Amino acid sequence: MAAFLEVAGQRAEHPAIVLGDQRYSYRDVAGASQAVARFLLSRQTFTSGGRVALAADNGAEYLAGFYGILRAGGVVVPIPPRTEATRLVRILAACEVQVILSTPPVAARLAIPGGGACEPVDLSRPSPGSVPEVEPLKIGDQTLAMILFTSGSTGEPKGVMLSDANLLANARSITQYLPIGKDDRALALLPFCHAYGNSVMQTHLLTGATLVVEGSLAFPNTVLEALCRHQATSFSGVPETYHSLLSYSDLGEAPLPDLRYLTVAGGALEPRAVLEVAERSAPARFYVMYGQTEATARLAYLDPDRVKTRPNSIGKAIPGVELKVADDQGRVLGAGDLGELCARGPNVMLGYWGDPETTSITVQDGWLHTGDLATVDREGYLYVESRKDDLIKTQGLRTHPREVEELVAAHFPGSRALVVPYRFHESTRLALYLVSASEELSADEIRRLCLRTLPRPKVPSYVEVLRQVPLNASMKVDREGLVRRAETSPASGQEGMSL
Amino acid sequence: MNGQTFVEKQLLAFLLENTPVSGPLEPTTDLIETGALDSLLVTDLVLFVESRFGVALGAGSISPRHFRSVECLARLIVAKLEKAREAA
Repeated sequence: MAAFLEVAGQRAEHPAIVLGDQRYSYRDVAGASQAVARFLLSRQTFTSGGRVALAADNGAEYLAGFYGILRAGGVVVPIPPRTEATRLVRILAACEVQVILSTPPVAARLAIPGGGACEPVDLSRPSPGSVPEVEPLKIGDQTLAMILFTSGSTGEPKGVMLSDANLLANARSITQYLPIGKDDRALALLPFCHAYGNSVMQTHLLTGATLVVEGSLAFPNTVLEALCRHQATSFSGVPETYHSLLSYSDLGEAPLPDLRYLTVAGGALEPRAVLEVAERSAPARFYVMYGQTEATARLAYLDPDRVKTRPNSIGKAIPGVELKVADDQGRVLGAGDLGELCARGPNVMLGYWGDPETTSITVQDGWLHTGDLATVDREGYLYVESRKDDLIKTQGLRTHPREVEELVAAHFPGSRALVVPYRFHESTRLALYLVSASEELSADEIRRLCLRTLPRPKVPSYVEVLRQVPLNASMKVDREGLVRRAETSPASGQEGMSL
Repeated sequence: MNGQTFVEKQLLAFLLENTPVSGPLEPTTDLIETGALDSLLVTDLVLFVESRFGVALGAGSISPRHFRSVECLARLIVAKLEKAREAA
């Protein structure tokens, strides 16, 4: 928080965020965050150290809310604007959220209990007066800054507790390897409410650079137009973003002279696509990166000069972070041996909110167990091979099959739901099988339920009703068979069955 | 039924099955304003159009202008079909 205010003081007139033709300077954002802090401190429901939900799209309101909550001594709980109702209720209850800050359109979309939209904050005329000294919430000797919810290995939402020091350490490390300058303009379309988008936001604002929000990931050419119009110097995306850019945009056909680099994280981009993005976006450099929410965001990156020779690698640890591939006893494995990727550094979370048991399993002796199985080669380059658990990444977000299975099974008593990931046009999708004796159940009915109740990345793209659970030779659920069934079905991703 | 109406019906049927929009979906409904279109649905819609109508939607066609409504997208598809027929 102090770091942001210091930069805001030095870069007062410089644009912090640009949305289309609207520009908000660092002075505007700092002033608005002050107004948010004063608003919070005037509420009887808010106490210092209290959790404050922040539900807003990328924009000046999000920045004002984020830094305003911290200025008031609160803890930011970002809420993705398309969070499903049941998950939202669980998150709000789990961290005893005292206030919900939102913008009217997002509040309407989320159906926040009791309305919840905060009074609008006028960015051009922040309320006068200063913010009194506040006592933030400490976990050990660290100040708790935010709780980012992600899917855990059991399907329950897990609140990752990140401190002020975590955020600062990860931002400082990233700016040691990414060439972010104070006059840079990053096209920032990844949601600030998730770890990756949050790191883009933090690194640029703590450098005094500008975030640009324009264009839509749904229409890839609008991304190129925005890069060109705003002379953007960088762009960040998840694998699906690059699949769209490669398939449905003119990337590489017209020069983007200001674009210096692009980054990908939030899942594995297959080597062929890595090479194609690097080639079509040259001379801009392409950074393949790796991380997870429990490490604030970033853990490793591949030097762009190594992309051609190692397009399947996540590279090496970022500055200040140690990575090891270890066996079940935590012993470091040799080159080529498969083990769990573990990380240690100042960006590793404080733990999971209200869950010391899972925290003690996930972080042992300061080592974060990522759950990713990896190998390392003789030169120290890391390669992520698979997951230890059933977590699936779609559109950069973690989903546990159980989240969808439980929701669907609860709606159709007596049935059993099975969710597996499958590949469809190079992206990962979810396939849902509902095992039911009822002949009245239709895939269409199940599909409608998913569309109504789940955010898009969790909505299965393939739905089928089965009469019995398919078993393999070991008499266990034949999940591999279910994956093949979705991948080879003529209905997969097409009319009738596709979402 | 003319070509435009036929294509609109097919697109509406696809979208009705694949979007969470609860209100009525008309050929002129603004798909972007209603928040019905996201990157995943645009990808699926493109694949649906290409497989159902046999037309390739180039990068330049995948824009808010053409995907604003079913009517706009159907117009694009019909124009592409007519162009292909003339070329044949």
